[in-house]
Amino acid sequence: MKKLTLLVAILTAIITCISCNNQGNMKEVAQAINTSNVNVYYFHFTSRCATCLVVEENARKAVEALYPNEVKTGEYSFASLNLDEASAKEIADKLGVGGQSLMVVRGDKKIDITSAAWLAAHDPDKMKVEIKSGIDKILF
Amino acid sequence: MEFLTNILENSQYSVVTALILGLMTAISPCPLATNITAIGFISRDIDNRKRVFVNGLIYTLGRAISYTGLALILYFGASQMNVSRLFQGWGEKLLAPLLIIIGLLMLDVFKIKFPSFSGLTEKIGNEGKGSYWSTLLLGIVFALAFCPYSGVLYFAMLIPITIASASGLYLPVVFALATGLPVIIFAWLLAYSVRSVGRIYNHIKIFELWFRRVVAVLFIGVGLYYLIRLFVVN
Repeated sequence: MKKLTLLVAILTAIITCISCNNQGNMKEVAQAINTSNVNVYYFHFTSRCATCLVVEENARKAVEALYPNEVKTGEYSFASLNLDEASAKEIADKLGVGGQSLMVVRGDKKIDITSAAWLAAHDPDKMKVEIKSGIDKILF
Repeated sequence: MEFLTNILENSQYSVVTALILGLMTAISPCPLATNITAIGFISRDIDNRKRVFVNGLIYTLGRAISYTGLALILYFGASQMNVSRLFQGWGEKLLAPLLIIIGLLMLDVFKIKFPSFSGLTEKIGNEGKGSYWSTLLLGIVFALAFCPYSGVLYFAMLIPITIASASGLYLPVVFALATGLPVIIFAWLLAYSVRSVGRIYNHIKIFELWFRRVVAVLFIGVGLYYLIRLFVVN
């Protein structure tokens, strides 16, 4: 019985520690909530792979390089949202996002470019093409 | 990986896409770690070569059951958002403590009479050898432990082409075959190419005890790897 209690205690401790790791980035989420403009959302969990980090970096750079003026005025934005945080889940619920994904959103319209973005992960130029294609589709 | 990505981009056939996605999953670090653990687990029957190879196939069958089962659930209307979030969000987190606990059970740090646990742990190294059920269970569980990369490959790339029509429902089986390919190849090599090693092991009974410990440490090590990933790799 003691051993079982110890086992349960270890399990609880590990899961609690995992939960402790999910600290929020409220500022980023607050910026992303604006739905009247073109928003590129990168959803992820706390644990991420190397390719996932590259996707975020290249997608962010692509938005900033393609639309520098719009980004400055806040018309276009890029936000990275952690699905382990409650505030990000709210946006994810609205968009029907269940896992890691890259979405172009404008008002009620959304375009999922996850598959294309992951294939273009390590090619910044290809990533620009995919981001531009997603934004063009959502504008017209 | 770039080579596989190129094939994937130019693929016209969904079966090729599923195969390439499976191979990309198999060689990505996180599922590779579970596959290495599985190789350790199934090679416990090293003195029965045929059994090792069959175990490799059964492990892959376990993976196929998980991938196809999930696809069927989604095909029949389950919310992709909820299913995806559940498995992508929790798979990796639960796998880490699970692997560590299985490892500790194998090392006899704990002795608990849970039928499911004992099925998975107590037979390793025993003369009776592990049942096929434990290997099947391992395949099912490991497949459900989606990592960030494999989660995208499965939920964002494979599922859309799978559930688009009933004719695509065989694709998760192709995907599973490819993800289990390293284990099948290793099982085949162990079964049919390392005969002398197997013969030596036959005469050293103490090896079984030590092999059990090595596999236990492998489980704990891979569990720790997953645990560290949760804190460090982000």
